[in-house]
Amino acid sequence: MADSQFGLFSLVSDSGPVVLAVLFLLLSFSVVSWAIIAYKFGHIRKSRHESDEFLDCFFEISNLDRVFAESEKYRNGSLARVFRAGYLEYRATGKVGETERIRRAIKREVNVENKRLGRLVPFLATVGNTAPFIGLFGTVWGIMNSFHNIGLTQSASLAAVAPGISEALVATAAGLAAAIPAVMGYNYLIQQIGTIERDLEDFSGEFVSACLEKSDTPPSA
Amino acid sequence: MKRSQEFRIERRRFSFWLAVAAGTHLLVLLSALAYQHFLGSSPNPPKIVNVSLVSLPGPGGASLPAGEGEPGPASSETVPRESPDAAPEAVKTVEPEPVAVPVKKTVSKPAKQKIPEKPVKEKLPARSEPVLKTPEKPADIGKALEKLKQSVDRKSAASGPAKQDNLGSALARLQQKVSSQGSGKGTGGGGSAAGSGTGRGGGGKADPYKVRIASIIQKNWEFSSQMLQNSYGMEVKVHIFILDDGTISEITFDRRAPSAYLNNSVKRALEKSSPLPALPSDYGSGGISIGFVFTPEGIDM
Repeated sequence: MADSQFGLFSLVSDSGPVVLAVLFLLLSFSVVSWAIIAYKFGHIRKSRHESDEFLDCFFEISNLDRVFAESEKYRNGSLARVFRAGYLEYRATGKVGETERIRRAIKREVNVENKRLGRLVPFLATVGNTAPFIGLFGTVWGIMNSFHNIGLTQSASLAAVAPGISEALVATAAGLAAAIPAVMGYNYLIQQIGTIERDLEDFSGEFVSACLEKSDTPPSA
Repeated sequence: MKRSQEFRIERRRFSFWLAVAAGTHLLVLLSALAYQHFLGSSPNPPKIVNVSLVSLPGPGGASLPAGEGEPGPASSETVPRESPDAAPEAVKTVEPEPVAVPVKKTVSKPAKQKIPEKPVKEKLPARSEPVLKTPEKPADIGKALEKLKQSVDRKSAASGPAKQDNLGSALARLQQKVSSQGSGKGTGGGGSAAGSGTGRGGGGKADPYKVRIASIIQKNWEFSSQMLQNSYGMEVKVHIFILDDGTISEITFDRRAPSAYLNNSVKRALEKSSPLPALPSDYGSGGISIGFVFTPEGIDM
């Protein structure tokens, strides 16, 4: 660190407490953002994969009981979860004209699933929107201090002005470094969640119609 | 119950990813540190060029005062540098004049030397043909050369005295400086054209104790002249009172510089230097008062 006079760490070590606090905040934002991106990426990918497999299974097998048995394999799939909630409601009522209750149960599960998928994602949007401004705040503060010091030294030479400004600009760089992945991750996750939500809406209609077809014959057991 | 279990599992998973992200950030920072260390220890450090400007007075400056002692070592350095440069400088200033015939200049010298040789004569037009049609008249080249020589001679003759004046005034300034510093016997052999001047003098009656403490203060003086916008009037005159044991008991600013940075650096240097070496017995007891002049160039007594 001491070897390079203009290195990143020497710049950070020379910064004031406010700039250091800003940098620490941005670092923690970045850590949490990356954790959310990694966690949600795995979670949503798994959900989509299992949903696709379950949908194939649903259209292949005409018997709802067998589909329910198959759905046990896809516990992370959003479609499978919605199906299970609707099927349990269907089995509980077992009467003709109770489709409205089934529809409501499915809708409720779809909402729960949407919430589950979208959890923690808004934090990425918050980081993406605020991190550059927080970094900018650190930079403005650092530049204020450096100008104050320039006034004290009574010198406006490049040697006196440049180090303070470069120290201050580290905060903006850190803000952008935290914001860019957060925004990219947010856009990707939102697009994936949107796709799953559309699948859920389509599937809920399909499932209700399937239940209506079966409702002519009362369910066994 | 089931939902809470799921939530717990999700939280555990998220904690895992949080730890992974923190570890990754730490790794990135450490690698950046290692990279920086690698850059710092690389054999190609950035070049730092220090330029010290020597200000010579203009042509209208003071002329050399005759017979006021001989120049010391400084003059022996400046004279040989100036004298060999004078001739090339004069030529350089004249060079742009033959702009109209740039090829002539390159061809001219070999042409002049190799004119008696027949094969060269044949080669010359072939070389210059694609550039200019002038080689048809070799007599013109000779005329142009002569003109050039004449103009160079004229200009060097005109600028010669001015250069000597500059040099002389610089020498005069140096002499004045040396004489004002003390009664040093300047026995310097003046600089020769080859630059083999050896000089001694200009020392004055320097007190070894004062010189010693000046060097100590100089070492402790953390000051960069780059931090000053201009060095005009940047002079701090200070008096310090040194006790027998070398402790600086009093710092009096006789004159402060306009820059607070310079004033503070002087104060810090003096405070840092205390205690100085104990006073020699020659000074008696009771302490002494010594004055220093701090300028961006260094410390004077």
